[in-house]
Amino acid sequence: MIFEKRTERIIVPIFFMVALFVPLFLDANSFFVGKVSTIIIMSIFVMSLDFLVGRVGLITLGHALFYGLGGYLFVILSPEYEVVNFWVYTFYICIISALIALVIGVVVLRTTGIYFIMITLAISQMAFYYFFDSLKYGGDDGLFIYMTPETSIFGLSFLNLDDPQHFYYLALFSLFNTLVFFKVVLRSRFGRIVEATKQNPDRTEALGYNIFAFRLTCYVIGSTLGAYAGFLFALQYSFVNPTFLSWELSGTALVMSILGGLGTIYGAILGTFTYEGLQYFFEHLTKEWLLFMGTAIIMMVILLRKGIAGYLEKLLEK
Amino acid sequence: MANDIVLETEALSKHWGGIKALNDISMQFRDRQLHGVVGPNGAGKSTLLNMLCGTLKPTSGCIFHKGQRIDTLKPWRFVRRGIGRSFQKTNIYPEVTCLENCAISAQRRFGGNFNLIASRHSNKLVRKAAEQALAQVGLEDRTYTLAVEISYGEQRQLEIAMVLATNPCILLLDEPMAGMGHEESQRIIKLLKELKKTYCIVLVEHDMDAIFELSDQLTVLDNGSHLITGTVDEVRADPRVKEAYLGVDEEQAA
Repeated sequence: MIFEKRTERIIVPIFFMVALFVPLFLDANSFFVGKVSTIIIMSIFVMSLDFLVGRVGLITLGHALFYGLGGYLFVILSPEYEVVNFWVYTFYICIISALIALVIGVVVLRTTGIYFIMITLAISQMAFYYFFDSLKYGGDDGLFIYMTPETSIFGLSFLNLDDPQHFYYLALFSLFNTLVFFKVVLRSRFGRIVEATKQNPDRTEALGYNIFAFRLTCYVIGSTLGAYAGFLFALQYSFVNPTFLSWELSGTALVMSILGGLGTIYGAILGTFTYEGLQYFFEHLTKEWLLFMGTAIIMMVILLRKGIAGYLEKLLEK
Repeated sequence: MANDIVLETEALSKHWGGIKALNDISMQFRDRQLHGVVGPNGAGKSTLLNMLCGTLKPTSGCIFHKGQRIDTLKPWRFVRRGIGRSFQKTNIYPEVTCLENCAISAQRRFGGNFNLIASRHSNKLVRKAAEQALAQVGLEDRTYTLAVEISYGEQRQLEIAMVLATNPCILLLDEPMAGMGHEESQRIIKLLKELKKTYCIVLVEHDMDAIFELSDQLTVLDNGSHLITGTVDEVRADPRVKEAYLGVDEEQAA
């Protein structure tokens, strides 16, 4: 069983069952279907960050770099007025993002601790200003996606990305796969060494493991899934702009992951939904919503030391 | 072939700025022998050990393992050549069981470390090797206990078990008896007597009785320099050693 904790075995099925049926009770074109799709995509992004920060011990403040990269890569790679295949481009984007993550990883993983935070931040800011100032890629306005990709596999098409409901299910399917993937990886032999490296890097190296290679592999995995989330987000709103790359996004994702329970993986879903839910609630309540939002986040972090998942585990484990 | 030289240092030095932590050390370590290293605080014992396992790079000089130069290699390469070390400060994985601690050490040699899919529990050989290492140090009844929950003495034993699980041929032990009670020390001494029949052991230790009882060869370091290497009796008889550090001991004995 890849879900070791009782809490996961209860929360994960409940979430996906509810998520599966929610759109059926809503108007297909309703605002909420789109909004929830966005939150689900964000959950994928936060989950990939949670893996890196909470499980591998790589505290990155530049994760948005890959989110933006996923979006920009699609616009740059695909012909402007031609419908391309979604799966083919997913493959391209993941491969290219992985290669970029590999190159960046080789550089940034030479540092640890506070230096790692700073260098990841610096590299993502470099990308931000590059796209912000580039005429070719639309500068601060970003770029539009004029043609939505089609999704046929061997001539069979069952998914229309222009249909919000279809898109919703694609996002949900992706989130589920991401969750299962991370859980499988963490349970694997590779995962054992990753866990050991997080707990005690010096000892792990003294036992003969090349911890750099393990961290690099994790960095590539996490970054690639982050890019995939960015790609989905760009598709949903048919544009990409430099805010995708902003450090605020990296920071917000980190807050969501901490709110959900750092390192719990499934907690990323809880954290993202809670954060977005709170934001939606306060935004509609008052103009000064940021003030309330900040207070609420601080309260939750103080009261729930190990995040929402940690609190649920305290209630549900034995 | 009991007297094969497996590990050798040649004019090994480590300088920190102007301070000479180790100066011009040439030593030979033989298979199936226990080589004790003693010296007053700051003599450079730990520095020597850290260089022998690759975590510190020498300022000058070389290290040879079975005739091949290894001092330029990455630390994890040392382990793959069969050089395992234990730490002076207990250095284990506190949040997992004793078995898992040893499984982490053992897994490397069975491959599949970059297998992202197969469950970590699927390889029975890893488990067997881990159990064997625990049995070697006598921790069988702690198999499923979290490492943080066992006693300090047991953690020291686990520390050695983890090195054994890497299947080394050379053991570098940094004060395995540090902070232990008499009874626990006796258990480790018994264990080391058993181990030195099959491994080359380099032992850094402050417990003089233990060192005298165990060592086949004994080296005294003083102030980063090599003072003498010989059998226990030779070292005890040497006037320079008495002067540097054992003198007080001898007087008390007399």
